[in-house]
Amino acid sequence: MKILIVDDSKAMRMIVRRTLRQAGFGDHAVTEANNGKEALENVKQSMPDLILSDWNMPEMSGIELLDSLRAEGIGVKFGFVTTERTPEMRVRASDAGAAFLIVKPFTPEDFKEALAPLLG
Amino acid sequence: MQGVVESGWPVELAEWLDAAASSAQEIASGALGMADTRWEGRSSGAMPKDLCGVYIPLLADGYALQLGLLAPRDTCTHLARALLGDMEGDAAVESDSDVFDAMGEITNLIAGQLKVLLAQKVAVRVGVPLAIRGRVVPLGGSRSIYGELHLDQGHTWLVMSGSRMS
Repeated sequence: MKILIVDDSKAMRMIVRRTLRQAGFGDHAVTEANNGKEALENVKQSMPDLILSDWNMPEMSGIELLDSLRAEGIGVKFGFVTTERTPEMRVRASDAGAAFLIVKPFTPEDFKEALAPLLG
Repeated sequence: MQGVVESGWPVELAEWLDAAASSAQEIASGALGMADTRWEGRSSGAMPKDLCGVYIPLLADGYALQLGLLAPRDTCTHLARALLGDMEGDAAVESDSDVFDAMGEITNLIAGQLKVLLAQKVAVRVGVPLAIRGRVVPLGGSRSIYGELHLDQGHTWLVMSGSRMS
């Protein structure tokens, strides 16, 4: 399966990659994007099976990315990996079609719990 | 508290700074794995001039704030490495772009925790981090306070600046 990591921080993309390996998802193909706009282009070229996206990013935020995907009828599995954790943000994410919201800082167990139902 | 209390602010600037310090200590002892964190409280002394780091915007109920995490360059590198931990197969964190990118993420984590700490009092929106060298001089109408935070052997400074949006 293909996983697209979207985060404007190279450090965080590296940490998410490492955590995927630690959580037992290391055999999936992983690609990266710097922001929502780049992710949208990436999706149109090579559809991933799952998108793990930050919320706050320049150019296009994570929630704008999710809204854009759904507006174009693209139902790819989508989860947030973000510092945003208020109940309002969780509701906003869920209403937009996110499958989960992982809060930074996170552990491999957080990834297992959120991703296992989607990736098996 | 002179120069800090602003009548009508939902949360005083000093409280923002203390909450930022609590958040930073929690992130340092958790995500960064640091054993020794110590907040010296608000400082009235001069900050060193050779600092660099990251500011992150916070918007809260009509107020624009900036949370800064500043440190000497070698401490910034130490913090970046602490965040990344053992990255097997990846190059060491040395370049300005890698170090400030990681510092931005650390500041983002602190801001996220700060947002939770103050959630009962004020709704906070977090912006995108901005790397800088040296301390940002507060512009007209804004106030700025700071304090020293020891993280293991490194000395860092937390800065909180804010002003009411017109």
